[in-house]
Amino acid sequence: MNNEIGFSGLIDKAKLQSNNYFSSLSKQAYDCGLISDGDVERIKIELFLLLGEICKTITEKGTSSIQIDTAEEISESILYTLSLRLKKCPSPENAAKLLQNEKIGVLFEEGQKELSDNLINLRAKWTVLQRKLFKTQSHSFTESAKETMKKFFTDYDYKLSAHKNVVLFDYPVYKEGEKLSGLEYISQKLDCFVSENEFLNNFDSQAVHCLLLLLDGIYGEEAFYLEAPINIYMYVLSCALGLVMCEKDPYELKIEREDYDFIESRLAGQNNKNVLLVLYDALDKLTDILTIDEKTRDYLLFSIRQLASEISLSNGENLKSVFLCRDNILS
Amino acid sequence: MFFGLDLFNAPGALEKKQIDEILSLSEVTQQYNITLTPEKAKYIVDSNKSALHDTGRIEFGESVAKKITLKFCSSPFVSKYNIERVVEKLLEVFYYTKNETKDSISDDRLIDIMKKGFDGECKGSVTLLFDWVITKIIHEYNFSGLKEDEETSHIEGEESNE
Repeated sequence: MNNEIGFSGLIDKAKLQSNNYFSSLSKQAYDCGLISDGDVERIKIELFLLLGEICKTITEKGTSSIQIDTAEEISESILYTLSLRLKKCPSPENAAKLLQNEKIGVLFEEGQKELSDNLINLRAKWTVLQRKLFKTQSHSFTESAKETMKKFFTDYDYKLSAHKNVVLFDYPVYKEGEKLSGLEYISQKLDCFVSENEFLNNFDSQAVHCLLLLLDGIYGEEAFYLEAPINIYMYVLSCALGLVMCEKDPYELKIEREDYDFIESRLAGQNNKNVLLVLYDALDKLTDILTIDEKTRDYLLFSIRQLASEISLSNGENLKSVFLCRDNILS
Repeated sequence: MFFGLDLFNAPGALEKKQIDEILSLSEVTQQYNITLTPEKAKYIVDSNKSALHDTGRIEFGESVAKKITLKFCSSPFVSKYNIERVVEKLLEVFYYTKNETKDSISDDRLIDIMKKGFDGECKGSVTLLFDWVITKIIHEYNFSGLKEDEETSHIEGEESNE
């Protein structure tokens, strides 16, 4: 590890692209002098030979060339797999050193092992989720957790198309996250979904249903939330936070007119810091009441930062659509 | 894509290897009074690269340029004066046919068919080879569901240099 300290911080992390990690890291490492012209040439040759090896396994016997679109698909898959391996390094500088010292074929094998392991973990996570799935009539919520994930496990080919988004996770999780693809994309979505589901499981399905029906008044459509891909979690979270602020029972998920007026008096026109302080305080109280794990707690912390930002940016104008209150909508 | 995989531009070291492979055929080609110079070898390698590019393919296995050069050097219509240009045209036809038959015909089989047609009815014309032999082959492979082991009409009496 001592050797590694010497060159830490050379690579500008802001220039590394999650979705194009191998190429962006290689370029940065080259620009910083961590890898030489000779290394680049060797890496390119080894990449080319690896591509050839994989092509051989999928083409008809006796064919030594392949159509470019197939080759491009495979090469993207190779780079994705290598990226996954390099991302596991403690720092980009370590990744550059690994790239310099290790054969591409070895890194690729390790990347494939990583993909295979992650796939197993993801499936285990999905299995647990299905048992604990929050009961809601939201089509996109249930469909994404069941059918979309099922299709992913059927269609995803980590050996030849590791980079490919074989499904679109339709349900809009609250945390958007980095732009990723392949297994990383679906893992990111499922992680968020699991945390949101964990939180929602604290509430009664009927109470959530009644709360979400209030969206009909905003969007002018009956039973709007059932078909529209909207995030359920955010409405439940903000409602529960609002009720805690008013020292009411968060499980009720029912904000009365006077509750709303109080929430508005605390948040409208406040800057981000002040909104955040109010929400932090409410979250502290809420997490004492609810049953949630550490990961979900972290997710809630992230969520209130995003929520605070949204409220302060709109100068409190969006409070009515964040803290759903029947009286506001009917009036 | 300098730091990734530029599929149409093999690294320089691989290109040099391909040129050396063509030059290594000299021992055979000289039997037919054809000398392969480094310039000719480079011309053939560059032609292969262009043909791959034009047909949207990349090569990963044993060089087809090498196989075609080896196979056609014995043709009565190929000499030291035209070998590199004949190979250039044959490569274009070869990769075109691979695409049009969706790779269902193996490299060696296609080269055999091309050689027989080129030396026979086409009398050394690549244009005629395309018009008379290749179009028929493409049609047969696409519309008659022809399998390699069933195909006979174009390869009877074929020869092999390897």
